[in-house]
Amino acid sequence: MITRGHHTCRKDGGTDFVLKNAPFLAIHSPDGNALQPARLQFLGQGYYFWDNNIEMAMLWGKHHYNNDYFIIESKISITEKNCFDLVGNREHMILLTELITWLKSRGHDKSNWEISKCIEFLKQTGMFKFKCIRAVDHLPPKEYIQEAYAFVENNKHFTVLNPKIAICMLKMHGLPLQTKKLVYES
Amino acid sequence: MEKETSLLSSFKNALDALNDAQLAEIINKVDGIQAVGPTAQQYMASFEDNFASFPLKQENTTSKRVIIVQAIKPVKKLKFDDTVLPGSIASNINFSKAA
Repeated sequence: MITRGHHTCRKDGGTDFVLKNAPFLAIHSPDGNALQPARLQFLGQGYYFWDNNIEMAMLWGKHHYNNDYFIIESKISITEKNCFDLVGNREHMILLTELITWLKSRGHDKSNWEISKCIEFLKQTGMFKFKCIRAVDHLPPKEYIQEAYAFVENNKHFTVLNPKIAICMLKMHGLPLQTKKLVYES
Repeated sequence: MEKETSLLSSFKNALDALNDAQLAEIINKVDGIQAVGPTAQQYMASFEDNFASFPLKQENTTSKRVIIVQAIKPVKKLKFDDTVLPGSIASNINFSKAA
């Protein structure tokens, strides 16, 4: 599958610099101190994109970059092998839930671990070979209106067609990015 | 018994191959990271501030059958104290700790 990723960044350095160097690393540093506040990334350290969602990219720029930002768009190749897909791959979701059960069976109750810690655990074992992680966040900001589309009439069951999905690329080298262009300047 | 899919099998086999000392070392690395995120109360204050109402509010439009979702109700009522942040996988909550 090819998707469009939207990456929001500061304008520091100007257009040429940003186009050359984007995407920029989101550092995961939970050990904050007086000089450097803690920074917790939902899916760990990496290069973050919104999955085909320029509206969320704009909201991110508004709230995190004081409304002074660029949005870079890249085509991203997502495959079963390169992406740990917590949006579209049930097997990957089951793996995380079963990991907690497995840890408990080995005498370690980690039922309070967040997603980012489970992913960090898998990374530390050395068996996590994916290049990117994809996940949906069910807590959008209030400006981001989600419309629920009913499946059939006279029935409350529905789906949401604009989920807030993030893609985290783990390493710059070998990123499955096919293109990169500036698509919005605030 | 149904055959497990390859990814789950390979991960489980690799996990089972870890001895107790290796496992403890990895867990300590992961847990060694200090939890300095918001407290549960701070998180919920932020959470409630983000939504105008609970639970789901529905509005029918004339042009198409669209329901405006202001909040998707969590699948399970939250129960936690200061030391346990919402978002644990085991409790099936749909959201993670705020960044």
